[in-house]
Amino acid sequence: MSFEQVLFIIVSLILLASALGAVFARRIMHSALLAVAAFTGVGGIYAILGSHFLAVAQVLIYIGAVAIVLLFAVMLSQQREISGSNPVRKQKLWKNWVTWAAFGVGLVMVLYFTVNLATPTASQEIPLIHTEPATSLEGLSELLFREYLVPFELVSLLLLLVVIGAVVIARKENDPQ
Amino acid sequence: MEAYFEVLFFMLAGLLFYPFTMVLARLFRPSSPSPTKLENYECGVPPIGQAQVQFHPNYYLLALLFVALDVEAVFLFPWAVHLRELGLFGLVEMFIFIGIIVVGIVYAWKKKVIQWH
Repeated sequence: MSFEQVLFIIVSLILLASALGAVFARRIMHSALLAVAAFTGVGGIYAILGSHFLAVAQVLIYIGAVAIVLLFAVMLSQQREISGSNPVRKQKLWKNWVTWAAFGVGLVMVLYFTVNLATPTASQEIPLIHTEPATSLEGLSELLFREYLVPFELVSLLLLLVVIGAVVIARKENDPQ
Repeated sequence: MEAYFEVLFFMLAGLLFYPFTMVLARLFRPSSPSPTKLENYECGVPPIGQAQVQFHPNYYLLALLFVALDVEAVFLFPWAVHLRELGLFGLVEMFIFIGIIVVGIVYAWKKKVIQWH
């Protein structure tokens, strides 16, 4: 087993443990912090797989910004006692058929795509990928700023919608001026 | 891959720093517990109320604005690395990109979201 495989297994175990912890933690604040730990694990997986830019973006956006949104959401909504505040704890998940259905569908999908992508002929038939995936930052920016220029500019429209939507919703709830 | 060894080293050092200093302090300090030592530290004055207070909703809005700007900032990195090859074309497209988002920021500014009130 190579060093990268060992690293992958360690990071995956940390990722799975913190993701499970985020679902089953007693306090919702611990759930949020464990979710941030899971985001870090995903960033580690990106780095191991060689997507260095994606790893940096994961750290900047998810650990930098989304984590703050998560923690603020908890701090804004929780009033007093937050022990036992995770709503998942109150349900008996293993008795719920939705849990098992989601688990089964997820497992089948993971197995299907893994087997499909592992066979060399199948991976060329993915319809969305026309170009060779870029691993270097320069190759990535060449794709992003030349070939996929319109989707890139549309991202800014999406971000504009995010900003305006947030302002509109928050203004309505705070004080109708 | 080798460049990540420094990152790993920093993560390990950060993880080990806390238990290391705690164990070290336990070995050297005298043990005399008192209820005052268990209070929250608020710059020396006696703490008022609970530590878990409800924060002002304006913080959440600022956090959401930060997410949008953060996503925008991430796109600047590959652009900045490749700007020489992209030339004027790249410069213009990034100014359009930023210009569209600035509209949102100006909107938030006009709606007095950024101001404290």
